[in-house]
Amino acid sequence: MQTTLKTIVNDISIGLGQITDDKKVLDIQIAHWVIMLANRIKSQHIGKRDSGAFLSIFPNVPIQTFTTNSGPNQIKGRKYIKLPACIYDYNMDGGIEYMSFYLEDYEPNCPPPFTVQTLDRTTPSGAQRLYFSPYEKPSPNNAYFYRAGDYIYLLGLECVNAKSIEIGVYASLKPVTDPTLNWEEPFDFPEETIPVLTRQVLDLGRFILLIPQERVNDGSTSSTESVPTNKIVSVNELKEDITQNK
Amino acid sequence: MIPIQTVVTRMEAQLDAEGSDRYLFDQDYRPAINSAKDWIVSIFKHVFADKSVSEESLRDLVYTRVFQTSEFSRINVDKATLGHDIWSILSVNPNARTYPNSTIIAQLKPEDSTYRTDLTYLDSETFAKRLSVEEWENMKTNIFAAGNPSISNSLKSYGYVSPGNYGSLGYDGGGTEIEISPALDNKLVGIRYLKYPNDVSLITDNLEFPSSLMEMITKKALNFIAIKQGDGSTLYQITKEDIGVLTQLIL
Repeated sequence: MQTTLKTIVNDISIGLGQITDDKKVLDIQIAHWVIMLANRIKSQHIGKRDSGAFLSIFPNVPIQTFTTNSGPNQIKGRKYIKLPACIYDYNMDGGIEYMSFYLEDYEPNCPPPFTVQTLDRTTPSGAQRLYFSPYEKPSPNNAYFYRAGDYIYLLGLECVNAKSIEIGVYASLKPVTDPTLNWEEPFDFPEETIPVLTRQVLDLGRFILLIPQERVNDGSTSSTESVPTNKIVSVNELKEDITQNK
Repeated sequence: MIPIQTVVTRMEAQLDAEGSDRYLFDQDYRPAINSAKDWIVSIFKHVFADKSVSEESLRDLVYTRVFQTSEFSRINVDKATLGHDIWSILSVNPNARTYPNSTIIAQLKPEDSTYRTDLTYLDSETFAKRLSVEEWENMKTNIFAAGNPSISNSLKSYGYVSPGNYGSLGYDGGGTEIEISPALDNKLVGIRYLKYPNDVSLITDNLEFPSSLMEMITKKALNFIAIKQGDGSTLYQITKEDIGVLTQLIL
């Protein structure tokens, strides 16, 4: 059974002594630290190996068209899909593993659409060059996509009525504010790197809990408190560095 | 429980007043013991405010009751509702499991909350963190603060604000109420609290403190008698020192 976010958070909250009713760090904050650091470790992990372990495929993402210009990246009249999840920002939009047309039913003995009817990546500035070559010119048989924020715009489909796209992405972990986040579900994270994650979160928590009490506003009004004079020192700083800095 | 007779006997021994009418129960011992009780309640209040204290040391006064919240996520914890005063709230446990397993009941007005005498508290998966009035307002915009209403997933944490009276011409919550966030509209909540100990009336009464506080009650009651008789010498000094030691142990 895969480790859950709850297991990791509970482990860290016990380690930091944050289990009583007057605890300073709530589970949600520890969960935020876990997700924040897990995203960094997970993105590095995916970048280092060719594996489908963390590929998320969304098979039926509808193609839409904005009817008005609004804000950044919402451009009237262009066909687009909205990214179905927040993805890692790898070089050359590597967070998108592939895109293809989606057909629920296709002819028997034909290859699945995602193997033949794929879309290639381009950029808004690079798209200009494509139209100079008949072999590269965007068309329904040779479609492209480019990313602008959360939107993936499609090139070459202007004159056809395509309805949906299949997309495979490397999605980041859900943030703590996501209403669908359930910390009792398996945590989508490489198991072998959990010790690294735990250590990094404990270091972060340890540093935050070491903030001197006189720097903490506890809400009480007191005129007798002295001005803080202690230097805040990183828990990871070496002893000899501390001496030199003083 | 501490038998008042035992406290009086010990006080008589230390006053060297055995068999004497120099000190009478109604005029001397009872007011002194009641004052000592109130003094201890005051001391413990500071302990509760500053840091956790073991509920075990006040086990005779720990009550756990089930309440149904109002539509405003509030609970009336007034003396008139419970039949006794609350000394301090120890914990507030939202979404309580009860015996028997019960559904909610209809309440007449939106501001009505109900003390569910028909239910016994079993457990809850969470507790609400006590918030000051300043924290209460601030938590609404900080997702990492207990009680923040914008988190709806399994990481949701509850908070409650200290008891207060919200009454107006169009709102009668019944007296002092606590409020819980995120909102619990007509839900069952378990509350563990310390009952305010009753005043002593008769020498046959019992004081609702554990036996471990016997010596503290005796010394403090003697301290009050020493103040009353204007004794600035040995008795006052000795009891004062004893109480200082005992207080240090508690704090």
